[in-house]
Amino acid sequence: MTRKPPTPGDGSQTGGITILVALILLVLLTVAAAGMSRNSFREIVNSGTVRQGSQVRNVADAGIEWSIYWLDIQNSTNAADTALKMRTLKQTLLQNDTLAGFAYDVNTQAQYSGPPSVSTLQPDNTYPVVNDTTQGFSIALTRMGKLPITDISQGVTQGTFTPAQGSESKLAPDLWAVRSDGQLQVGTGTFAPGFIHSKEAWISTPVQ
Amino acid sequence: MATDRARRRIRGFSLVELLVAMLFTGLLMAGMARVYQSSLSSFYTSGEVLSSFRRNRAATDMLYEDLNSASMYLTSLSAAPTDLSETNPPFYIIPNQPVAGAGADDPATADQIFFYMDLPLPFEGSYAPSGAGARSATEIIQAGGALLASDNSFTIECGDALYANQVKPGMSMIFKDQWETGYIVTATPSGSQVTVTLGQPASAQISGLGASGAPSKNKHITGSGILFYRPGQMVRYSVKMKNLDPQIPAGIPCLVRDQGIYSPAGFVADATQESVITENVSGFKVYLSVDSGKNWEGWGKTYAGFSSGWTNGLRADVNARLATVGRTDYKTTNGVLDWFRIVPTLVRVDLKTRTATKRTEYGSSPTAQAYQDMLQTVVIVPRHSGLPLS
Repeated sequence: MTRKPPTPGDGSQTGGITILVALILLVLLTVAAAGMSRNSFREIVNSGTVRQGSQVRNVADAGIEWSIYWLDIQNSTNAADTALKMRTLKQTLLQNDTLAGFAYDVNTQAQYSGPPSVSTLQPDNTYPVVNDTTQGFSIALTRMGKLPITDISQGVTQGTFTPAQGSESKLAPDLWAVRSDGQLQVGTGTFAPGFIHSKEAWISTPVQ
Repeated sequence: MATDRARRRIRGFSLVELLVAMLFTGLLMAGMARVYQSSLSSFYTSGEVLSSFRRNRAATDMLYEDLNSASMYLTSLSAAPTDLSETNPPFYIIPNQPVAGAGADDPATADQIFFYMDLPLPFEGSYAPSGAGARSATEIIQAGGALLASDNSFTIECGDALYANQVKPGMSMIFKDQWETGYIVTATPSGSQVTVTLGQPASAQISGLGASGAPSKNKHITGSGILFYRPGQMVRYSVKMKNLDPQIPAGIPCLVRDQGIYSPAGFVADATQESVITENVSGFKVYLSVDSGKNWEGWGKTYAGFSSGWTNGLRADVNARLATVGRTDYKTTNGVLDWFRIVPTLVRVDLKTRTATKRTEYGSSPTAQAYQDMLQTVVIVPRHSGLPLS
């Protein structure tokens, strides 16, 4: 028993065109689906970028709030880690007039040269990694002298806020520029997308 | 027999077979078309909704940042500029203002919010004294710094020529080593540096006076930070019809930010400063609360215009609320032009954006076309609200 080879016009080959048409349709559908998904992904990536941009802005805001809290001498008595460094830097700047006007890195205590890499952010200024996203802030402090206001004091103890008697040099609150660089990085490695948002707030503290 | 089998093999399909096959193919194709149409529809609608969300979020972020600087006085910290007037207060809202040129599908009215601020430029310079007289920080401190009347020219390193060229006469600057402001009379850029001459503010009534006389070079440390800012700026957010698409000649409703130097007679926009914050806006409302958000003044009110809507409307409602819940010193906003800096005030902004296209998918019935709206709310106590420095 040997199988007879198919001959031209053999009915077993009539399905060829069906397969061809099905293949063409399949290719067309695949191309359309691929195009649509590419556009959809682009939208998702775009909206994700906006979300992360907004997120990193909030992180920078958190850095400002953190600084407002720890610049207050009443709070900084319990400072530790980076907050303690903030208190030390504040004292250093207050004791040396020639250091005024320059931004100093709270972490390194040296002149600030821009935000450090995300991996070197201090643990207490970094949020736990969620969804492979690392976020945190770095703070730079500038002493700006005294508020140019005479006969006013925010008081030296908590709760006092009364017009004071005296001169600007003695009672005017100290003025600080706080720069907070919020950072957010998705994933790790060279090509991990990163976001930075910088904010600066000028904050006065009671004379000390 | 073999011949019969071969004939049957090459006979092909019968008409009935073909018709049945075509019927099934047609049904299959019709089903696929519905699926395809549905996926196309969800692709377009999800893209449009995402885009609307993205625009809304970006706009509210910008508005938040801007509003946070409302009533920021950099020149005179403790006193309001003397030329502020009740005609153009440093903070106010005109509710339910008609949107000029709005079509049937566009918002007929929207709120407008106005606020005063000194607006910093988005870069910082450093003091770079050159030539005779330049001294080290140590020398400056030891010498104590004598004030020279002619000492009014300063060279500032801006880091880039693009920045240096942004410094213009009429702006002001602040030395960051010790708060001292200076009004810029002339500005001469040269590469990444700019040399400015400081003098008496030409518009001290509206920008605040600041330090009297020119700052002394001797008092400032080489390399210390310098902040430039535009003094006495009034900002307005409103909804305007803008011709952004030639296929929509009536225009698209946009949230627009206008800015201009403060004028006591009323808001005057500088056309060069106009910027579109977001397009396809379908609603913009602003409310105020002076009782920690328990009550929002302006909510559900239809009063409109400056006099009826603000002075005798929203502000009167704020006063009525303060009379019952305000602290001893804050029983009214009357009589204090910059009350916004004194009375802690919550500002709530409701921004509604819509999809770019009307579709039946967004309509209330299968044949009705409509836009899909997206509402986002910002609630904020601006940093300079409720912080009196006097």
